[in-house]
Amino acid sequence: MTNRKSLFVSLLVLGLLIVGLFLRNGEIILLSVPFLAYLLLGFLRSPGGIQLRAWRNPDKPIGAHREPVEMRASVENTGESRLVLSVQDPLFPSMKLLNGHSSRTCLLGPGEQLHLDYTFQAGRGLYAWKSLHVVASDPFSLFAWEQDCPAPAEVLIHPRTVRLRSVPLLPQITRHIPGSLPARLAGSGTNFFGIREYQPGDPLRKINWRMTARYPQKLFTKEFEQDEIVDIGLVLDSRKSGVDDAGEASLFEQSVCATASLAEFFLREGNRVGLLVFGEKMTAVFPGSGKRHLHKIYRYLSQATARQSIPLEYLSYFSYRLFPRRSIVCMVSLYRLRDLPTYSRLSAEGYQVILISPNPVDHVAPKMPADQVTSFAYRAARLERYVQLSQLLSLGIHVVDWPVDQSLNDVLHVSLASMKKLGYLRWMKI
Amino acid sequence: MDENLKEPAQTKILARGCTLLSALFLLAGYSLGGDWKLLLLLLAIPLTWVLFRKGSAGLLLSSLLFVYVFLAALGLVLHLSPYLMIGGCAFALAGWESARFWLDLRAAPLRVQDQPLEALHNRDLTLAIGIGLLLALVGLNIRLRLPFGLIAVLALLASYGLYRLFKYR
Repeated sequence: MTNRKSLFVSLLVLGLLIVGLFLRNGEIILLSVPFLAYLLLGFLRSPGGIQLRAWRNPDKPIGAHREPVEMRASVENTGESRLVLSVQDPLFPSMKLLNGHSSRTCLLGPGEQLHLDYTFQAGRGLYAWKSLHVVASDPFSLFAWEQDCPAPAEVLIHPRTVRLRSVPLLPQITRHIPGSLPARLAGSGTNFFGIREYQPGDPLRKINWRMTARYPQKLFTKEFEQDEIVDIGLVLDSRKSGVDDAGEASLFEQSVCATASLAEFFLREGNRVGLLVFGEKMTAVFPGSGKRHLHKIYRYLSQATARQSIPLEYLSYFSYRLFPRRSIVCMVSLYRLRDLPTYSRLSAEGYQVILISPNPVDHVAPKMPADQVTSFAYRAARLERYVQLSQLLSLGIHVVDWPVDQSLNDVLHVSLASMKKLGYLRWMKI
Repeated sequence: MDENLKEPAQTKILARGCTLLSALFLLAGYSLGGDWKLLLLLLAIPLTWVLFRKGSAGLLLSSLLFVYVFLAALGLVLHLSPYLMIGGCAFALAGWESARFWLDLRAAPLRVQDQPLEALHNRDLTLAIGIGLLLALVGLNIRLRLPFGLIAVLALLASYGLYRLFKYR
């Protein structure tokens, strides 16, 4: 296969021949002889009988966000002729080469192997390679033979997570399997629940001696609140927002991080967690528990991308199938006014809805010019958001307004703890 | 530089040396021709450099080779020394090829164990240029009176050969 280089030399030769003939000047024709010799030698040295085998081995199939991954891509010459090989393994756009080189040129004899060793780091995503680009040519690269040798491999980079300390929830209904969330039932937990009259069989260490002293005719027993697991549905809103930007600091990336962190926390506590990535392309994971389930959720979150906006009403079609009735539905979404009816419907259907909303106003404000108009616009946007979220509160939806420059841990703890204590959410101060 | 990587020093020397030799050959040819005004044409080389330096390095090198070949052909039209013109042209080709190879190696660096590739490339290049120069010298010294028609047919055959090369490779 010829390339631009050989074409250029051939055009030079042709040009010299034509000019030589036109001027009837033999010396100009002789000027083309070194070029012809060069082309001819390249042609004679061009590769033939090419047989190659390629494969690649990443040091780990699953990596954490920005964790270095070592890759070894190899090519073996299974043919019988010596080849000038150029191997290229281009990186994905979101990858950063840390060490080594992802391309190499060398002379490969029969049975010899060529290895490309490099280390890269990447953001979340599923990186799938199908082949390795190999170019065999003559030593002058005039006549090249290109091939994509099959060398499949996959590396899954998990989304960034924050280790959450606690998410204080007060579920309406639990699954009657010991867990970590209060079940509003007397049982074998640690939190004080109440006092009742002693019944035969109650352990003596649970007797409330102070109450018994007050009413000496009877014995009283302390009751503790049962801790159980719950069904939690996580919904990541992947609809593109006009205010969001690209890159790792974007609100969408923060939302993915929050969803992954919540999934890790709830599964660590033994709960059953389902996931719906809501957007133009929906992906869902049915409720489950355990480490394998967490990896499944990470896999889906790794591949989530912000896409075109669609109405949130479509969520109704999925919620019944994915999340059991009266379970907790934890939405991670930038809130839009037109989403209100869907939240209202979810709440009416008995779901305990929690909205964790990255604050777009505070996110965009620092990037705007600091003048009086912007200041008024910022204040108006904040007021608008306050009113919108107040409407949600009035529907009984728990709202966590998350300025993304603040720790999710702190924001969740403060917002949900106050919700638990006071029965309503103190979430915003203007 | 990574200790496993090898700087293609031989190629670098060859690229610079051949380009310099080429310029010297052309300069000598034009100087011996006595028409000093034509030496101004050699300014085309730095001019090309300035014009194409913002483009890719490959384009710049190819433009320089074109300028060298043009100057050599012009020299032959002006009846300057054919030995110096053909020599200049051949060395320009060698310099161009070495520089291109050097560029390729910058994109995909050579490891210490890949040293034979550089040696093979330089050996083959020397062979190609040597054979080309030898044939051109023989052509200069053997005076054959061939009819124009035969030369035209030979030139057409060479063109057809190139065409076949592109079509079926």
